[in-house]
Amino acid sequence: MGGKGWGHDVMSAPNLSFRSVTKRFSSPQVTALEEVDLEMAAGSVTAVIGVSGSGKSTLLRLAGGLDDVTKGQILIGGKAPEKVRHSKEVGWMSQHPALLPWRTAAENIKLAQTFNPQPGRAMASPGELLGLVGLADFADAYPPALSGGMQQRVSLARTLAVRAPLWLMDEPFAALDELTRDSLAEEVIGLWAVDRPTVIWVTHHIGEAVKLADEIVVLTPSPGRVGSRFTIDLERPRDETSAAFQMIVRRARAILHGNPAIKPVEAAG
Amino acid sequence: MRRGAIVAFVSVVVLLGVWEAWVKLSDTPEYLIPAPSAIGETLASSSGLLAAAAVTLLEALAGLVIGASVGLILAIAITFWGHVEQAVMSFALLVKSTPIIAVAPILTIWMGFGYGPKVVVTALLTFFPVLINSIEGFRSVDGSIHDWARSLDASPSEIFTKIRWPSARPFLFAALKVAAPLAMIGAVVAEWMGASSGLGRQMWVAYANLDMPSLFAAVLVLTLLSGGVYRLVVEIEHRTVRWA
Amino acid sequence: MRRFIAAVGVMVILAGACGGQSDGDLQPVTFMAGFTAQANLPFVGVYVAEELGYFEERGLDVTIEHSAGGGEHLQLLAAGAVDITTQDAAVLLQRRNDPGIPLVSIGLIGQTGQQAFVALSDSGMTDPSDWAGKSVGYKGTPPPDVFAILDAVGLTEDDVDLINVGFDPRVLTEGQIDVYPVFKSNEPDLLARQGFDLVMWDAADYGIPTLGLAYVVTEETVETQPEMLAAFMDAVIEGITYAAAEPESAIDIVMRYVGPDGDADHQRFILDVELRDSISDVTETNGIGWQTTEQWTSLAAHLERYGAVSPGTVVEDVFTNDFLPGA
Repeated sequence: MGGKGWGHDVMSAPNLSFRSVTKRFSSPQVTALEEVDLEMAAGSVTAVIGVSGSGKSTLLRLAGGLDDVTKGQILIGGKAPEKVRHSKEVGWMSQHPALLPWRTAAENIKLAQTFNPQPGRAMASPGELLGLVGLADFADAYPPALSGGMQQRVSLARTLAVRAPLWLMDEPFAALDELTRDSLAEEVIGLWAVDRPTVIWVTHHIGEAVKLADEIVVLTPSPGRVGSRFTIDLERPRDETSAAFQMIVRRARAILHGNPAIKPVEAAG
Repeated sequence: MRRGAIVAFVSVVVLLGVWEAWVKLSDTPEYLIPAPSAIGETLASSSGLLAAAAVTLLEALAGLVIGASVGLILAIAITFWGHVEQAVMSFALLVKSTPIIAVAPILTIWMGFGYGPKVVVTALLTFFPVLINSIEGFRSVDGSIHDWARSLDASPSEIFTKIRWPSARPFLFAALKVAAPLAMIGAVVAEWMGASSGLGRQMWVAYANLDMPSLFAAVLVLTLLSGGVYRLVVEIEHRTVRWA
Repeated sequence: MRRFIAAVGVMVILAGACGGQSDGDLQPVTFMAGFTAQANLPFVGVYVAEELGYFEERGLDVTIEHSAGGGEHLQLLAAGAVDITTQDAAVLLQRRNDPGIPLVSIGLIGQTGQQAFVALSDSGMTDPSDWAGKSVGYKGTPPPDVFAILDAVGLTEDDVDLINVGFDPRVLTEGQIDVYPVFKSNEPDLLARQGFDLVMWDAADYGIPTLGLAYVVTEETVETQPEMLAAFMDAVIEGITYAAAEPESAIDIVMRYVGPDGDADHQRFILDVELRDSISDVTETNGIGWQTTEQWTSLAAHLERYGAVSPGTVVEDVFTNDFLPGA
């Protein structure tokens, strides 16, 4: 990461608690989540995997206080998600880049920091953050001129810019090619290691989940329920080429494909 | 780009040539259809036309600024306080449906023969498109952008100034492009109801005197001015909305 | 395709034949009133002649049109789309002068001008010398009459505030203007009904020559259609004579053209004023519509003096009495 330590004067990363969380929409009528029970430790990275329609994005929106649960309760550091949002402790990244097209990449990041000033705390400059995601030369580019993948990287940099103690990331690497994914994953983990926020990371990519997460939660669709979950005990930084890593990936894949012969196993580090 | 301009220019010249020839060859009297040469002569020799154009332009711009401001302010009000929308829209539709011909004389009776009625008429004409487009513009914010702003707990006024307002700018300019020529026409029509100066007055007097060259000349100046104001709006847009 | 054209051709011929038969041998004439339908005397003559069959008796099939009040009736006359129209005498001279439309008056119905100036009685003004320091309105361009009246009482243009007003007399009652230009047969009645007392000044009272409405045709029509014009004038003069004798019936006829929203009392007011103004020494001797070189010369001189027409009006070309019954 380059040693740009931001110090340890961070807001404490919260733990998350989902209790019987149910979310139903009225038009169209659909139950996005049903009876979801989850606990996430403070400072942990939880990868959420599931096919389309399994409620992953809804889970993130509820956690971010952008929507209310139909039934059940979510507590973040003991507080309701809306309170957490009002305390400006949320770093939320949607599937869509959601950049303001009339601002340059750097200006977009600056705006996030304007909304969320974090007084008394050092903030990385937009330029540094863009450098982190490999877009140092594009600080003055306007989003319409950037490719989908580049826009997503700017959006990622923007989310990281506010040093939130809670990161809610919806498929942040979806539009990227494999090489970029790999290098970015390194950067992101490096950054995470500084402040150790609590992270929910939605992804389709098993390898990415294994690389980043302490725990993987699998959601099954219609309605969204927790299908299975397992922890990953490998030490970071994790080497994808190591046998242990590969084995976990195989196990994870098997679980995802529903092979009853292989039970969730705690992988030895 | 240049080729297009040349083609346009040549077509206009050919058109004028045909018109001139037809009038001269058919011996059409000037008080029925004036030849382009007669119109040109009138334009060249008329000093009053320029002063009249300035008067009408001033009336139109003043009305445009006022009408656009009112439309914008009402749109902002609706964005922040949704429950006033119905009241505002009912009023706006009433204004839009009332023909100027009915309104202008009443304004003259109330405000006199000066600039007042002309400015009010143009303001009434221009306020509706700006209102409608601004409302659309303020609402046009992408859902995910709005979510992102909320996730950072941006205040409603922050969201308005940093997100809704820039988002609405293209819509606002679209409305101004419609409103600018409208403002010119409004000023001219208001002048017909009683004025001592302005292009509308020139046209009125020219027609009453069956002075067709002067009438056509005034109409030409009006057209050029309207086009000019429109281009001005386009230029301003290009300079302030670089990303569009 | 050929069969189609033939069929259309046959239908056209049949239509022509049928049309011709139903009208007999009547000559079609298009008359356009110089304003919307109302009881202006030249209009009344035409309405009555049409409704009581005077045109038909004389072999004319007259189509009656109305102008919206702009100048288009003169343009249509000049273009040949209209045969006969009406026009104010002063404007006739002006249009002959500039832009040079070859107009001829074939009957001067209004022997004195139609216009005057009014102020509210409450204003305390009694004489045009009281106009000093006040606002005086005009419609269109300042008429020579305004300057002539000012001259007559020793004032100049600078002593008053000349303002171009619209056509709504409420600017007078609401105080936006002090002196308002009116048609004697029109606004005074409207304002009186709303309870306003007026003081009126007529340029004619100050020795200023004024003339009213005339029937107007082009020089070409005078040359090419003398019989038609004679028949027409004969019919309309009879119509006007009828209206003078039977004003109530004449108004009933007028109302057919004015429409159901019209005010019959107001129309009667117009008719009475215009009947009164159609009579002069000239008409007592020679009949309604007669016109003299003296009348036109005085008017032309007046307009020349105030720059409304350029010098050199050939008055003989302006009018003809050849088609009047008294000729």
